[in-house]
Amino acid sequence: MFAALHIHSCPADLTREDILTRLSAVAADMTPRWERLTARTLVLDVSGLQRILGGPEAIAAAARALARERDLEAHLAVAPTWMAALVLASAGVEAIVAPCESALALAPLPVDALAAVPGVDLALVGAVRVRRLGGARNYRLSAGLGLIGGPDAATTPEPESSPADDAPIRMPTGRPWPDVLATLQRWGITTCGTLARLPAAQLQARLGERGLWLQRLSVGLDPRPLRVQPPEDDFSQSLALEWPIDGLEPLSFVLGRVLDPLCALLESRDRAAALVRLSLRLTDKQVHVREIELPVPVRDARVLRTLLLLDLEAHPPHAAIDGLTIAVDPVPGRIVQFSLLRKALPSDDQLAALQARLTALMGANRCGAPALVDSYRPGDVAIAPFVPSGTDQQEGGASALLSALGIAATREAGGARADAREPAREGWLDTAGYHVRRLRQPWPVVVVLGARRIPAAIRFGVRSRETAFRDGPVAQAAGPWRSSGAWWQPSTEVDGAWDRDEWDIALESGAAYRVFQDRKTGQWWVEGEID
Amino acid sequence: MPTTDVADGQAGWYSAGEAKQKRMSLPRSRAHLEGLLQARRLDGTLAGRVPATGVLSTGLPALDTTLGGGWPRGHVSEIVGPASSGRTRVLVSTLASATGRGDVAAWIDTVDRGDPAGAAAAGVRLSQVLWVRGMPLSPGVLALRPRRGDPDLTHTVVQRAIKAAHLVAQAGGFGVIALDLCDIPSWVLRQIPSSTWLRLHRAVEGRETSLVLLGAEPITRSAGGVSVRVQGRPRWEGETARSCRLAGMDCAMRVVSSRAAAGTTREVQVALAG
Repeated sequence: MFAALHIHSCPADLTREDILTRLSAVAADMTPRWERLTARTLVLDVSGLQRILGGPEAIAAAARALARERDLEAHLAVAPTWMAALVLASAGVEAIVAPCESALALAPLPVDALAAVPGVDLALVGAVRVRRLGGARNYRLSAGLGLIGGPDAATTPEPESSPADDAPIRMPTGRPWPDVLATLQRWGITTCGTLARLPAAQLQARLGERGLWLQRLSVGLDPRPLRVQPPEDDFSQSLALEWPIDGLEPLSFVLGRVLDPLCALLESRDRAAALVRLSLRLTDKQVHVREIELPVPVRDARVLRTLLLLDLEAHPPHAAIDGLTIAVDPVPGRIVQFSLLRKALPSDDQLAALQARLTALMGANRCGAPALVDSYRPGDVAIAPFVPSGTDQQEGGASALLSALGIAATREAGGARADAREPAREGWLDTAGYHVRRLRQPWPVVVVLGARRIPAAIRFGVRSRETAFRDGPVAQAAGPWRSSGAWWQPSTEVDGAWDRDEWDIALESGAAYRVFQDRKTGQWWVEGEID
Repeated sequence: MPTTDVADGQAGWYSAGEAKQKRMSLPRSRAHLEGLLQARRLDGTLAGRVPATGVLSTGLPALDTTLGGGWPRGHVSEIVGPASSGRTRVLVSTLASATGRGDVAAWIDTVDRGDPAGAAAAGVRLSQVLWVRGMPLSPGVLALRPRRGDPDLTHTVVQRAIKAAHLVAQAGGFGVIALDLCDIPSWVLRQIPSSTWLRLHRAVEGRETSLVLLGAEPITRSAGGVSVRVQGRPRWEGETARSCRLAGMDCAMRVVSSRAAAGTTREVQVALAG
């Protein structure tokens, strides 16, 4: 038993995709066995629904109600064959056809109702088409039968249709459909019933395969079995535990049991997880939900298990676990093309797992690629995602090969290194041959000023000989270098205003520091050790 | 006298004559011993075993020449020097060299003293560097010596940094891993058991990774690694007080141990400047 659903009315603001989505939702709510034949028509296999919904009338009512819930008005027909149901619904006939009565139900319909079958083009829209197809003879035949539309029909554009709408059924080759229809009309065959009564052998001899095929359609014979729409895979796995789990170590094995089939399913569908959603059902009836957005699509069960465990280490559930569900958002699998000319880099999966481990160890936002900030504030820095396979360092061809081999004798290789040093020439960055080991929070110091207010001695207030910061007289000082900015913000904030005089000083012991004096408060601070 | 037959790997008893005979076959026993050490991956300390996994340039041609090409890959090396000796600049130069050649580098910054702007100025390609930032400890906290029974924050921070270096080394694919332990007091480093360092050696052994430690005092190096002791002073430019500025570092570097570069010059003077 099949049901056909043909949308004849819907809100004007709905796009074609919206209609398709809603229509698919109606079908999916009814049965997993359905096929979309046109943008407005689909066929459902309702064979097993009698036990759930009742008879064909109840099934039709349920489908119609589901369509109405989605603001779709549909003609619905139920028939023993999907072809009969399709033709009836497309012709606007809402019928429940009993078994073996398909031909009887279709008999009163005009032959051009079979145009509802995708690929069967029985609608003659104008003389232009007839001339193009068959020349003067077809034009004369069609004109004589009055099948050509009115004067405006010739200028009416043919409605746009996608190839998917046109070719779900394989057509037999032969004479053009308008030619077939014109011949039938000339014979006085106007309804499906009369077409069905024609002798098949003679029909085939005169109209070819298409004639015979059209006759089969007119009695409701299916040209092929229903091609069931592949169901949208549900990439989720659940497991109910017999005994509650309290601790991450036993949970690791359970995660493995759930993730292994899930990843196998992803692999079989050529999908990978972009987001993993873990729901832990706890013994106190609450659900502990964690979501991990993966930097790259992953379908390796070990990597996913590691990431989930590391996340749970940082955000453990507050009670024992009764059951768990893992769902993933699937995306197409990655295609990775390695290069012989570039150095082998850690794979994205490895890097994702490594960064998750490091984040669990060091804390959030404590690992990544260092990034420069567009600011004049001394020591301003940011952390960017660490993606070493980015495009900025992708060098191809000979320069990459030379770089991989460590040869820099050519102009290209030298140019690549010059590009690498490009940031050094921009902005305030100095290129001096030293490095400042910065204190993220400057340390207050006492500076004794000498002649012309040049630092003469420094006292850190640290009573230990184990640190790099030891008191002593200043042997050399360079400065002051004035630096200020963000004057519009209060200086109490972290990224607030700054206004200071910087000095580079070297002690007689050999240690060198960068210190500065806050011009507003007069307080001296050490910013870092020069090394 | 009962003796254990080490060469055969089995306990047994033999007479004084047999013991003499065993002593006569000493070279064979030594080969056996070396074979046993090799089977247990303990042959890294044997004399004559030279690493063959390549070298990583330090970015300083004079130092590369002294080291026989650079830091040996697959080994733990160290840069040792007092404060303001230019040791960090040498490390940054190594990172610049590695990332410039397409390697991926990891920078384990134990107490978060790194300066990416300075590193970029020195030629480091920041997008190729995995920067792992530890807890920023102030000089006051670092100078504190906890009483018995009190939690030792510095020790915890160091343990995390070493574990991070271990994780990065195990992940593989990194050309250089820099572990910065400069500001850590020596009494904290002495508390770390030698097995911890041995595990770190094992993690990079046989890989194309150079693990470079940065410290004020010698910490550890693997048998094939090198220690570079840096002594330097700031170099100033400018005649008058107003025009005076810090221009760079004058460094003297001494290679403390390097099997690969045996017989070559062991000391080099380098002027680090922009």
